[in-house]
Amino acid sequence: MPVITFPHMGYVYIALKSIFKTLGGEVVVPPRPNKNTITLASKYAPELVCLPLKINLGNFIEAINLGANLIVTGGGEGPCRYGYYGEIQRRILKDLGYDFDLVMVNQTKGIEIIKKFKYITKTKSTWDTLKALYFGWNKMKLIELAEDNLRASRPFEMVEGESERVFLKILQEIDNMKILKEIKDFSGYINESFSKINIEKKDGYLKIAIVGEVFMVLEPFVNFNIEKRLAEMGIFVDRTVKITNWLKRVWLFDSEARSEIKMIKELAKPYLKEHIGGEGIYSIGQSILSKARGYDGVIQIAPFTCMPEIVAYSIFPKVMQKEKIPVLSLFLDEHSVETGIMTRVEAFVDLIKRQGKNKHQ
Amino acid sequence: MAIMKKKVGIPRCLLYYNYYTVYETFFREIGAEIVLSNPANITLEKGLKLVPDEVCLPIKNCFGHILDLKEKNTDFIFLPRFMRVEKHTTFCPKIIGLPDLVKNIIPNLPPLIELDINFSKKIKFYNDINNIGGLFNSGLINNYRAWKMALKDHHAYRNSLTNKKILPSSFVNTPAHQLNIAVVGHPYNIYDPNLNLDLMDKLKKKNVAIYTPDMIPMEIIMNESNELPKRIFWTLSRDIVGASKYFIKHPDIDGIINIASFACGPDSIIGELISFLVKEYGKKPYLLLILDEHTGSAGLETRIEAFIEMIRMVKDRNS
Ligand code: SF4
Ligand code: SF4
Repeated sequence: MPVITFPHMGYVYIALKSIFKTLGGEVVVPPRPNKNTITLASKYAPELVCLPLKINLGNFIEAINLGANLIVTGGGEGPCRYGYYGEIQRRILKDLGYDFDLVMVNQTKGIEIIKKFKYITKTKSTWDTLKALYFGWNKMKLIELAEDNLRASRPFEMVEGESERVFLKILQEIDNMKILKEIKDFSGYINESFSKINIEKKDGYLKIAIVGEVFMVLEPFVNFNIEKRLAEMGIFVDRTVKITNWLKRVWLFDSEARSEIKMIKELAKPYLKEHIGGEGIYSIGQSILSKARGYDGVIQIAPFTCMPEIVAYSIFPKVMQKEKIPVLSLFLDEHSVETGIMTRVEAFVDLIKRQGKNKHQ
Repeated sequence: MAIMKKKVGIPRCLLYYNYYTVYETFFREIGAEIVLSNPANITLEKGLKLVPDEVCLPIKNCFGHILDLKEKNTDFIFLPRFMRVEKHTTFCPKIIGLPDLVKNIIPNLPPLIELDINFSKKIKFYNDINNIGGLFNSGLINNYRAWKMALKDHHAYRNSLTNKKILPSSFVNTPAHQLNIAVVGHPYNIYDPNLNLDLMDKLKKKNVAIYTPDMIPMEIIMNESNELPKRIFWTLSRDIVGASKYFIKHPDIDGIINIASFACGPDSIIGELISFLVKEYGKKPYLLLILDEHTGSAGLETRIEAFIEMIRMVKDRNS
């Protein structure tokens, strides 16, 4: 009997778990990335690969030890390393003597997703598979809605920790949903729950947009929970990278997403003409867009040696100068020290506070 | 009176080592005067100052070449954007974004000729070729003639590298003490002494015959890499892995040296993959050299000596 596991990244596990379980699969969710994950990763992953590969590998070992024997992970055909992650991880884990199968699903190909999910869960019916995928997709959308609400309320909450409490409760409820019907009206419930939180917006609060590599931006453990830390400083944070956006972008089924992509690419074009893989071009474009939307600064987060983000990073000085938007770039790996990173973040916040003063008052 | 030819500067870096016959024939035939950057002039410090630390050495080195060309006051600098030269493979994000990196980082450059090289956009490509010809006052017919000739020269050159059938039969005459070592890696890492600290010379002085992926016919490379459970999607890395696999299995090859760059994305993946292939096909001596601007020549020398020593021991034991 296959016991399925998959990479941990932010709250994506809730959607994935739901899809596999709806299709009758048995699932082991790896523990949230933690110190032990990093220890395993540093021990067994090649030293010079990017951090997401290492963390995923550590997570897979943890999941196998909990009984998983079928790893489902993403795939692709370049230009970035991500497309080859699974094959390297498979070889490393086999070499360590683990017994498992690994299936790579190229998330950019709709038909392949359906086929592979059928194969993984031994589901015969395409219709059932589609329904399960649709269910997971909607859970993901609800999670992101809850995150948006959390972001809008946390920096301004009167009672410390209240927004997060509401958020975690909602997350649990989404996780518990078993049938598609429960999703109906839930978005209204989310908005309503958050609207009950007492908030007070001070004049001239700062707004920061986070851009960068998907995993590093989405996984709080590797980015030192930067969204929360900024919120604690009373800063409104927008995380432009979202899983549903990311998928919409590759699937291109959504006309709104299509026109947004076009706009962002247009904005990036004077600096970066072509899509270079990963988020690269979006990191540049989103930064410029954030400026237009009244944000005071941008924080770029990426793993050490991340290729597309290094290209963006090399171009940022020009963007900062021409578009007059401050950018702080954080390249992180398993050796990054929280206090050091936070000192840089605080210094950056001070800088934009000084610059933003005239504008907001 | 002879008309002054317009000058095009060509940086001798990155894909230059794969395609220089194409560049040279094409520009010559459309009537351009070619000015090459001079590796002897390249001081890495200059490039290093401009580009963030996090960038790989080959790209930093490339900035040195562009700066050298800038000083030579050419009319244009040729900096193609490599995206796809064939259907299933592509290039690393930094190579795709190279023209953007250069434009945003070095001010006041002569106009760049940014030819998009993308297999899937042939019509645009031929149009671009024709526009480039126009810059040098060459007409449509001559432009395409020049392009065809460039390709012909390129294939002739590639064939001259592989046609010698160096592997395996000619080994019969190998002097008894000569070692056959395959050096694999990105062509720029193999052929630019600035990047590999004269590795090739160092090896030759030690009575080593060197074999590179360039000497392996494309069919072999393709067959070898197609056997892998997952296809390699970077053009250059596919060549490296395909050739490495062939070298690993080849009885006449005594050892393999892989030259990789410290901050290189593809190298971090395929360096690991090649180690697995070495294990899988029976443990050939394998040395992974990861180079960056801090690598010292003396340290490199020591590592090569130890490696060669090891190979000789293995060989003596087996003979
Ligand atoms: S985008 Fe960055 S982190 Fe992701 S695979 Fe590419 S190099 Fe690695
Ligand atoms: S392939 Fe590696 S060495 Fe070459 S440009 Fe890309 S990252 Fe740098």
